[in-house]
Amino acid sequence: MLSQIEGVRLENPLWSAFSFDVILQYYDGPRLLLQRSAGGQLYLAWWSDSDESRERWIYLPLSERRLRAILSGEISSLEGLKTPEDGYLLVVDKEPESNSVIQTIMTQAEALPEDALPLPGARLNLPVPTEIKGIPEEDGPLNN
Amino acid sequence: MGLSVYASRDHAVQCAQQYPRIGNKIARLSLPPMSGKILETDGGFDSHNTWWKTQEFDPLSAALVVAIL
Repeated sequence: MLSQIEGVRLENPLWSAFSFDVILQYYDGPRLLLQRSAGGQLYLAWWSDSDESRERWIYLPLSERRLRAILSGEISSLEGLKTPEDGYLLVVDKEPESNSVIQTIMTQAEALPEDALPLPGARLNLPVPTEIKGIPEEDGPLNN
Repeated sequence: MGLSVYASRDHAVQCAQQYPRIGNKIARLSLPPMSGKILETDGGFDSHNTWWKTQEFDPLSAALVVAIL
């Protein structure tokens, strides 16, 4: 059974559709997703845990610059999750077969068990998907 | 049903470090022809392969644990 997560429970669904939806890492099922909501918000989503009735995903809303930093490994995944640009992340529980959202909790990484998050120092080394490559990189240093 | 395997140890370690609830042991396997079929199914991002194992092949007898995270 998945643990209870402290945070603010949001009305479902938070989004109705994604303008793109890419599987970045797959291991016996999708593990890392990149999605953009119809409203334009980018989300990088890590599979976190699952039991018989639900899958738990951690959705990090982020900018394109932050996305590049995490995918390249410039920022570790855990650091990215612990320092979200907008101050929150979303823990989304889904029904595995239908992929329908069961609940969404707005929270912080600290609300999750340590082993439900990437290990400290774990860095991705993935290319930027072509859907993002067409957008020019923002200038300036990465401050967060 | 296919099983996920990585051709690169680094990619396997990276995957296990990102999603600790998958498990903390990584094993190396050499797959002879009688072990089944394997196909690159990486989507262009890493060395992920899908392995369709034959019934007679016992992966436990051929596996060597190479990393414990």
